[in-house]
Amino acid sequence: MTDDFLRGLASSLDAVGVRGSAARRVLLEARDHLEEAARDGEEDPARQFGDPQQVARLVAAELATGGTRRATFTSFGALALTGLGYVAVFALVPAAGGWTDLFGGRVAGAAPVLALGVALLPQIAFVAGTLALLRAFRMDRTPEAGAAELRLIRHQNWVALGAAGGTIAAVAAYALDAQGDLASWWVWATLGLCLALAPLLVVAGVRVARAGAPMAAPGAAAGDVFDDLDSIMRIAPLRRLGLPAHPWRFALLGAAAVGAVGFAGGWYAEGDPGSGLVRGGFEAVALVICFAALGRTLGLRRTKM
Amino acid sequence: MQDSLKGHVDLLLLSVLGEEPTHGYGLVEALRTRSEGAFDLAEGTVYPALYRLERHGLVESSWVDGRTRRRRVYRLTRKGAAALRRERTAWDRYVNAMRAVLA
Repeated sequence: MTDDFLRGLASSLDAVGVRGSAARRVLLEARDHLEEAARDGEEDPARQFGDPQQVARLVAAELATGGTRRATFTSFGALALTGLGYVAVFALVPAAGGWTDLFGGRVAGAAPVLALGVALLPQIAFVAGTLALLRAFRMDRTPEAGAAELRLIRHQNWVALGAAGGTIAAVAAYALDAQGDLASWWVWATLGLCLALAPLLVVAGVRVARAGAPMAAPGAAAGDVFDDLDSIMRIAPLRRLGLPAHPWRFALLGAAAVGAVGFAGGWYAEGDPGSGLVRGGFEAVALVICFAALGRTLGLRRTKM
Repeated sequence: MQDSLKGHVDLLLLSVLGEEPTHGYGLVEALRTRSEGAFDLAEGTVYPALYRLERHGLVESSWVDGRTRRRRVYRLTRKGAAALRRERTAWDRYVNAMRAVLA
């Protein structure tokens, strides 16, 4: 009887994507439970245990939530290390011979790709990773998250990890392109660092993919970033802007802010306001384009129902 | 009774574990005994609830070798003990308020 029930539970767990060590744990605990109940003289312990399909669905919903949350922390850890590596690599450029012209490399046509990779992708990785982390922290206070919410977090992680992977590929390409202009120790250290970071991103990606295996509870819609920032959005000046109902206002405000920072940074670095305008304009336009392209994927605006 | 019980399973489990660490069946038995049979859960649903409490860091568990087999034993964490105290206070306030209104 117990064996029959456990076989049914095992196939129910498999049907909702609970496999491997997680399934083994549930089955071991169920066996222990049923045997203990039988020893206690309980009538029909299998019936008392409940419908195996219902138990499997509840277990899957919990594992989907916990797994996605843990995968997000792993992902953010890999992103943080990649970010540190990125900062370290470029902080050492002056010691390795100074900045070379990104657009003056030896491979023709590589410059725009490198510029995108080195300047834009890290920002996408940072924003997407932070959004995923924000959701993961919010999940700490909630019961099982719904399928739509978990899918959104996995998408945020995918975008962040993909952008980080693109970043290290671009940095490695920049290092190869800068051979001869920069010290060889910098080139080799940069390539070594990129090679060391890539497996971390892959491991994080595998964890995110695995977290999607257990079937989540149906749940409500995933919502958007304004749900995550609810307490901030209640502050009077922000509330008056009505950003949750008008996410493009949010995008334009963000574009104005990063444009201003880019302008100031460009002016300071290059010593002329024209360079600041180019940099600020690039940052602002890039943000608006990214918002249009990735806004729904990243939960910056709601998916149309 | 069973429907209204669903919203309070976490508090009940924390309360039983506040007494002593135990395994899944032990928890179900303690709930049944203490409630004099009133709280009769579908026993298998206790495990997903325990996994949720583990995710929230309120409970921790480990395999313990018994006489005949290994079993998973759950115990309250420090965070879980604090949550239990907080939830008990809130529950007492709620019950007192209900009593005052219904009396």
